[in-house]
Amino acid sequence: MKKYIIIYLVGILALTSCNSKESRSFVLTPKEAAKANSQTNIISPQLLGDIYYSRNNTTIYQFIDLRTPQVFENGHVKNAINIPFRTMTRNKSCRYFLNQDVINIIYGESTEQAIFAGFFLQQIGVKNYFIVLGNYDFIKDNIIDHYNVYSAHYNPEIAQYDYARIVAETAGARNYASSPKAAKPAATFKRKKKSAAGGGCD
Amino acid sequence: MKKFDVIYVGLLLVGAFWAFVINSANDEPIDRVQPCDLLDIVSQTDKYMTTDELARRLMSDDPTLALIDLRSKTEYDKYSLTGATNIPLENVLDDEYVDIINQDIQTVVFYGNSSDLAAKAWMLTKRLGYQNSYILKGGLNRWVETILRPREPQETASRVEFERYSFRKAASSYFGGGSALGESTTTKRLSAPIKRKKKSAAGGGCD
Amino acid sequence: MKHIKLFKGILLVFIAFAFSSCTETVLDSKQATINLPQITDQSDAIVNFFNNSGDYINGENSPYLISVDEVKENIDKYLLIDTRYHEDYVLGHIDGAINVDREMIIDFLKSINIYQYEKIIIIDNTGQGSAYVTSVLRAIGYGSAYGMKFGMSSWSKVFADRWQKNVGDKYANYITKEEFAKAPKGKIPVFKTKGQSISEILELRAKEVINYNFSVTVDNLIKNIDDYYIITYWSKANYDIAHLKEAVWYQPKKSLNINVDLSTIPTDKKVVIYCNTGHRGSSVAAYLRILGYDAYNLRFGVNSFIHKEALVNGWHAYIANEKVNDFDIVIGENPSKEKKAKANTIINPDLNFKHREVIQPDPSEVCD
Repeated sequence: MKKYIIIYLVGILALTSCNSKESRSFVLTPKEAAKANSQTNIISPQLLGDIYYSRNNTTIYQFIDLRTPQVFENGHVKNAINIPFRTMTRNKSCRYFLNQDVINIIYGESTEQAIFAGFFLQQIGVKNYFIVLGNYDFIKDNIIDHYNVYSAHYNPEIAQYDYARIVAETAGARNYASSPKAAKPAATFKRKKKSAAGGGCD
Repeated sequence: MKKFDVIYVGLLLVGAFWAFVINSANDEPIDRVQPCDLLDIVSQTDKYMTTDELARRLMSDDPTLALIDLRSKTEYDKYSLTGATNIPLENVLDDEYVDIINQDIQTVVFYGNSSDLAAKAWMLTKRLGYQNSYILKGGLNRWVETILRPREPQETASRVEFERYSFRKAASSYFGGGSALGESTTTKRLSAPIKRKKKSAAGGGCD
Repeated sequence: MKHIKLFKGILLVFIAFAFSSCTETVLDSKQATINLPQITDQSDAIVNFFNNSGDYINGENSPYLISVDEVKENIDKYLLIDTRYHEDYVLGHIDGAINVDREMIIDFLKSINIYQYEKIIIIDNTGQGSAYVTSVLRAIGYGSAYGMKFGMSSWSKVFADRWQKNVGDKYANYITKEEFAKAPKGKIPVFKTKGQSISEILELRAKEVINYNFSVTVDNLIKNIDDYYIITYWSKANYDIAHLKEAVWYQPKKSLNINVDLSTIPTDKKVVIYCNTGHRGSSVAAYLRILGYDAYNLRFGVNSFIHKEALVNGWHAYIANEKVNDFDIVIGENPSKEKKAKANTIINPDLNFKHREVIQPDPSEVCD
């Protein structure tokens, strides 16, 4: 009987440790991951637009959609493949991320999801990817349906407000002297009247 | 037959011991989860604390809150939340901060200007198996939009929204007026952190 | 005993499996860089890009104008860019407006976080320059740009004459009901820039055309009328009532698409577009210029030569009493009375900024 139990145990061990999941372990230690450069794998909206609109000529860029299949069905970037976030490490999906012949452009249902995915790949040593901040709606509204790559709000990690000033302005600024920054640009952008404004159009 | 049994059992024991030695020989914090489990944890665990919830707890002087500002020192010096500790993301796992980040008495809330930095720090804590950490949803930008400058709901809005708005207005006057300036509060230290007990099993491997 | 051997065998296979499959291959992953293939036919690429990316010039809200009243109401949420000559700016400008030369606008916008502002308002004297610049900006991806209708002449009576004095009936005898056919379909203009990608090509084209003197007065047009291919850019019904001799009808928000009638516009002639007030003409001229056409706007549209006819037919005839307001202006170099530029304070009214605008009534008939 003992033998059977042992065989059974080892078998289970072998199966559980290796079944159905790609055997990847972390390449970066947690500390290394914390210090890793976070900006290199974020794609700008302009580049995203350039890729999107020249994709007919190239197959090297693979869009990956991390949302659930149901949402994916309702609309996605053309030719994107659907790999729901949780299934990223399954053997089937893992292939796509480990494939070094393409560059993966990853987007999800939110900025955070894309960041989680990107940060995860970074930690297991995959580098040939870019993540899209924002989400699918961002791509749809500002790249696909309209071309609005500059005005669209993209990098949320930038401070949107002068926090200190707002706090000072909110409800009776006590103990706080606001120090508004001096006015800047004007000078360099001024427009001089040209000599012969020939039928000027303004 | 018995020889075989002994060999196998022996092998397993040596293997387990070896794995343990390798892991603990490193001065790095020990990974508590395997990559594939991490994704499950990330997608299943409760990640966020809303700005409303944070405001509520700050206003009630909740002593169990540990606020971690992940931005650079410069940004932190300009403005941060009351009582926050500044730990830039790259230092978040440094030994000197481990007692703040890794403990299960206080609730650790990570934030930056938005959720990006916090998401990363949070993911690392999950990789190390730390408990009780949250992402401030939307970060300081959302804090301004919802708490400092709340928007009045439409007249047709539900009662819940009006209640939320009146709460936010109250919060706005509580946090406004320079009472939450970074400079004045940097001295405040967290109450003695309590070390988290090491868990026995390293959790089933999954690769 | 044979059974046991069998089990041993299986056991060994299991162990072998366990170890072999768990030994991971080292992944040699390189930091990805993006190298897009060279675009060979740039003109074709840009025309198709416009068609595929929402076709902004034929969009529902084209030509993307905003009334002075709306600007006044939301002054704190908008970034105001005054593109007039500095001399005019000093005479008076809207509180907070920053004086930026047309050719500097793209660089200026890149230097600030523009998504902090709900809208970017382009201001000039008459609204036509604003419409032109707005159209250029929209083409290259500034989806929050708007031109201020009728410009400063509508904001303050100080500048009202900039419009008023250009209204007239000088060429009332030059109009006809006779219909002229579009030119046959041909090629689109060819241009080549140093740009590698769509966004680079767009920006280079935009910088080339943004400061162009794109307007032609009705006097100059009539004098050299043979040099021009004249486009009447409003509804067919209005075209049938009266139009300039030789003028061809193109349908607003439809005709100027590559799949419709864009290629009927000749590439070897000057092209002039006119409508009611010159706003839409300017917007379209900018679009055509980016595509390489030698396109112009007829200054002040029909108001400049058949104002009475415009009054009778309800063609947005310019009536000073309706258009001119008396809003506050700031005199001098400083953008704002408080001696600080409003654009420098960080404000962001809406994080979830969306491209879509308020829908205006029956847009295809409106010709500004």
